[in-house]
Amino acid sequence: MRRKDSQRPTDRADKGTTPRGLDVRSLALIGSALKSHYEDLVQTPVPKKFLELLDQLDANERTSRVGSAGDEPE
Amino acid sequence: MSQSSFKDDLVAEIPSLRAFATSLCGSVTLADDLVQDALLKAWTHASKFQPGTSLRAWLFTILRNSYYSQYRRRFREVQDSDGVYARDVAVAGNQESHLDLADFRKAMGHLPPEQREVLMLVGASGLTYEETAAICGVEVGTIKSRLSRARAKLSDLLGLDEKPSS
Repeated sequence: MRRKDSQRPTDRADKGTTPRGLDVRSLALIGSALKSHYEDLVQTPVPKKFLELLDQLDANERTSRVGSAGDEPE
Repeated sequence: MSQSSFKDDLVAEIPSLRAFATSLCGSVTLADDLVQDALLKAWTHASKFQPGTSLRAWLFTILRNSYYSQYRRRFREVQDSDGVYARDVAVAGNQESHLDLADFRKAMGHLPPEQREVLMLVGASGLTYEETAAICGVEVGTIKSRLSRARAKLSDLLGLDEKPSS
C-alpha cells in the first residue's frame, strides 16, 4: 500500500454541509442567538478583584514614579 | 498622567474581555484567570499599544495568545466543570423565532476554538474582518471561511436545516 503524501486539507465542512448554503432564517437565528449569548456574558457584573488589581498597578506606578523622579534620563 | 485614562480604558474593556475569554475556554472561572493575566500583560506592555488603534483588538490579541500558548491544555482538562455551556438559562420566546440559548451554548461548545472565536469576534464583539484576522494571525479569507464553517456546523448541531413543515 502506497500512501500519497499530497493529501489536501479539506476546506469543506464535513458531512455534506455546504459552508455557504445556509438560508436567511438560519443565519438570522444564529446571529441573534450569538448576540444574546454575548449580551448575557457582557452584562455579568465585573468582579471587584479586577478593579482592585488595576488600582493597585496604578498606585504602584505612581509611587515608583515619585520615588524614582529624575532617575530616567530624558 | 495618561496612565489613569489608560486604566479607565482597560476597565471599560473588561466585560468584553470576559465575554471573549469565557467563549474561548468555556469556563467562567478560568476565563477570569485569563482576563487577569491579560490585564497584567496589557499594563506591563502599555507602551506597546498604539493610540488611535483599537484597544479592544489589542487586548483580545494578548488574551488569545495567552490562551493558546499557556492555558489551552489546562482548560481542556477542566472544561465545563462549572460550565457556561451546561448552565441552565431561562430563555423567553418561542422556538420559532428564537433559539434556546442553552442549546445554542451547548452547540458552541462543540465547535473548535478557532471557529468559536471567530463567531465571537466578528459576530458578537463587533470587530471587523480585518481586526479579527490580525488578532488571529491569519488572512481575512481564512476568517470568512471559518465563519461560514462555524455557522454551518451550528446550523447542523441545532437542526436548523430541517425545515418545519408548517
